[in-house]
Amino acid sequence: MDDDVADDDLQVAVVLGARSNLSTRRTLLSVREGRVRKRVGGSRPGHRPNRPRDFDLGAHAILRDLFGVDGEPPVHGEDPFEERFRLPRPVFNRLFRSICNEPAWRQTINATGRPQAHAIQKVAAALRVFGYGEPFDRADEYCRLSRCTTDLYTRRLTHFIIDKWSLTYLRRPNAEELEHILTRNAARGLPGCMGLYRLYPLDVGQVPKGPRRAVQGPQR
Amino acid sequence: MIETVCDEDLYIWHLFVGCPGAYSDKNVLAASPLMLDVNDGTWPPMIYKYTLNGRSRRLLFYAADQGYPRYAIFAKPYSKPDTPRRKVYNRLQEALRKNAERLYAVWWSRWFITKYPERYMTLPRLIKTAKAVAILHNMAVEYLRHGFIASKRMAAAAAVRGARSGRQDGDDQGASGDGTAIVKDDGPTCGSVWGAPVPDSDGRGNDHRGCEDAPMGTARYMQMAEKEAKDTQEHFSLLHDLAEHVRADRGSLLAPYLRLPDVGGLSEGLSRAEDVLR
Repeated sequence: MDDDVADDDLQVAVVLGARSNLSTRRTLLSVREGRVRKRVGGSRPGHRPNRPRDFDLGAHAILRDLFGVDGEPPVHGEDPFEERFRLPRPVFNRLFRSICNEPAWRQTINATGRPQAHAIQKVAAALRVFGYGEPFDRADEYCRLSRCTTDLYTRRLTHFIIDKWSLTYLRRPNAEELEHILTRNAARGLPGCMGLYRLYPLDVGQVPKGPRRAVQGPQR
Repeated sequence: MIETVCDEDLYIWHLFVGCPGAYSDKNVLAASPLMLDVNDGTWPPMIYKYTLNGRSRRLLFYAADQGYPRYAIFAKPYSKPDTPRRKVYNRLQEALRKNAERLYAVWWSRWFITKYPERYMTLPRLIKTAKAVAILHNMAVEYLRHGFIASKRMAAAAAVRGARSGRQDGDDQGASGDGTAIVKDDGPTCGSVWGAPVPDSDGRGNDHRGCEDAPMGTARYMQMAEKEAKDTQEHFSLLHDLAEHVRADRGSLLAPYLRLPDVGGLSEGLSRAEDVLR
């Protein structure tokens, strides 16, 4: 009996100590960052529990449709692959291979011991947002990811791509490439032309453009 | 507004997003990092020399449509082409410039998120999304560009030209055509357009204009560079020289865009071009 009481006291003490520790850390963090951050996500009293999404189902569907599982060929071929992800398969493989072992992207196991989403789901959901312009909760049916997860991983994919490749793929041409461009344009009659300059407003794409006449190629 | 510089394969060489759509073209130009570098004189590189209409030039230019300022780094089409050579130049220029329009058609249909600005939520996110999408686009283009029809045509044209020049060398003395129109220049690159072998008859052909007293990076150098890149007179002389230049071998240059009845024996250049296109 005494032991039980002592145990209860000990538990209460441990819980109280942990709570005070947490609140201290939170105060310190908010002081250090100069502002009070609202706590986002996670489990806490009054919060709705996570929905029991079957993450494996999403990963299995993507792998079955586009990559092939269990030694079977994929449902869709190369052209549908490029239609889905807007990238040819080698380019997608390159992106996925560089991203799949990042700590934020690889499959984790949460506190209850349940495996979380696979990296392919997150990449697929983010690329569908880019390619199809999907709302964030539209990927729930296929990729089995919640709305805020899709939002988060779209943002993370953006940052990842910019950090990794913006110096390689978004730069001015160097001397060799410039020479190639100049040679090609000289063959078309404009030597010294080093590029095609264009300003374009961002929101015109929503407006229906009249009859399709603007630039239609050689027949005229 | 999006500001891009792309090439024939729709590879994006410069991207600048984030100006409000209420800005006019001139305001975007004033804010863009590309034009800031042009003002500084660090871009475009003056290491190539090309000859137009007997004059050699160093200032490279961009092909742009009408509606941009009359700067020397923009080659715009003539607004009302009234002479045959101006029409030929306009036709060739818009044949090249249509790729800039095509870039946006491809971008808008390939990356649909650009159609829904409400998905961005914030301005930094808009800019970052556009950058990331452009990088993915460039990676796809880099992988796919060997199969593009432009590169196939170019390879075929080079093969035909090589065969023809091997058969009877010294055939075409036209200034363009093969890649010899662009020469790597080893001379002093001191912010001047006109190269050394220019006919010195016209007073502007002074190569060493301020080379000694304006080293690169000084305020005077920047002032000279900006003045040179944004000169209206230079712009018109560039257009004139381009029109004269493309007139010299307009047969072979215009051949891909003409739908002529197959009369036969029009000219050798035309039939060669048809062979290339087939």
